[in-house]
Amino acid sequence: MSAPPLHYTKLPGPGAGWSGRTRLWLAEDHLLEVNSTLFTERYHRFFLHDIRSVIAQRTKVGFYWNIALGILIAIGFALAGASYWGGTKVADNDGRVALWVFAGMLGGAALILLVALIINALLGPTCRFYIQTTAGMRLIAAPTRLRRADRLLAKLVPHIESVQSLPPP
Amino acid sequence: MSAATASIPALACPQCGTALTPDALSGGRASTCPRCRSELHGTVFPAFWKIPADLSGRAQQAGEGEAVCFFHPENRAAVSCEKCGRFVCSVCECTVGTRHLCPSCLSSGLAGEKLPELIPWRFVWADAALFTGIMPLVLGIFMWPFLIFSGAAAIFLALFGWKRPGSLPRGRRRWAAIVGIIGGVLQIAIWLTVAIFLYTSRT
Repeated sequence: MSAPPLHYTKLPGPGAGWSGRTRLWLAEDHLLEVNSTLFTERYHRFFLHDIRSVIAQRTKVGFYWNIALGILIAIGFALAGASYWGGTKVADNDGRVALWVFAGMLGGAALILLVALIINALLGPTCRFYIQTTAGMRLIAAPTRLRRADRLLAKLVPHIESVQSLPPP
Repeated sequence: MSAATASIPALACPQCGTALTPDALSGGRASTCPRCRSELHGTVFPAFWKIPADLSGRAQQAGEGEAVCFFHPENRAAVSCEKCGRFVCSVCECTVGTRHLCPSCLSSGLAGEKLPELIPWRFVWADAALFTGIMPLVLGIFMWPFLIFSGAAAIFLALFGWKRPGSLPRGRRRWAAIVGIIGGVLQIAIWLTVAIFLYTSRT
């Protein structure tokens, strides 16, 4: 009695967390939440007829990340600058080189954090995504960005509405 | 307040639990929770207004000459199972998405992974082969003594999982298994080359 394989469409907005990577896929009659760890995938289904509401709630996680990264970048560049400046004052050649290498390492680390800050800022505000069914409200680990959640809603909402306008199975 | 109104589900702010009016989320526009000021984007669907069906005692007694349930001969048949064709009453009817199944087909579908809608998890053999085939090569020469084992493991995982079901939405991912095999062969070749070099240089 094996059933034909289902056709799934990838939805925008992957998410990653401590429990692995998460992505939503759309089938003809249900939404599939796939939580992948290294080699395993766990599935959770939401039948489109049962979905009562979808909510993307804006969070301040991305903003706090920007503040934390900004502070670390400022500290990194300040220490790198201080080390470089301190190196110019040292008469000993080995000591000067050691301080400059240290300054270079700190500057490099701060530069990497600056790239992370720019990427985080470009991705936009963060969000939590919820799907409410008769069983209750479930937090989905993806999407984590509000812009992607809006793109997902734009794609998902007409599909759910068209399914729910049909008589129940 | 009527019974129907009382059983209308609640819409609450996910952040603070404050009750929201469904109109606040209509039309896909952004709204704000009146208490915690969280910005909310979303939509309420027609299913929100549906009252959950009362499942208790809904099977009807079969009349003279009416089709009866396979499991409850005293009950009138409501639907036929889409897999085996047995008539079942509304108590025995199991709805999986858009399918109507009898309890025995549902349990056999659960046991043998024959219904894709019921599969709870999968081990993706091709991903395991890809990881085992490529990661030791990325880690480099430090992995050399183990390359013979990881290479053999990558080839085994790829071949063992070749015909096994893969990821539910992404399929079997044969390319990943093939890359895993190539990586495994490369690892064994590197291990043999270094082993032969060490042996000949010693003798």
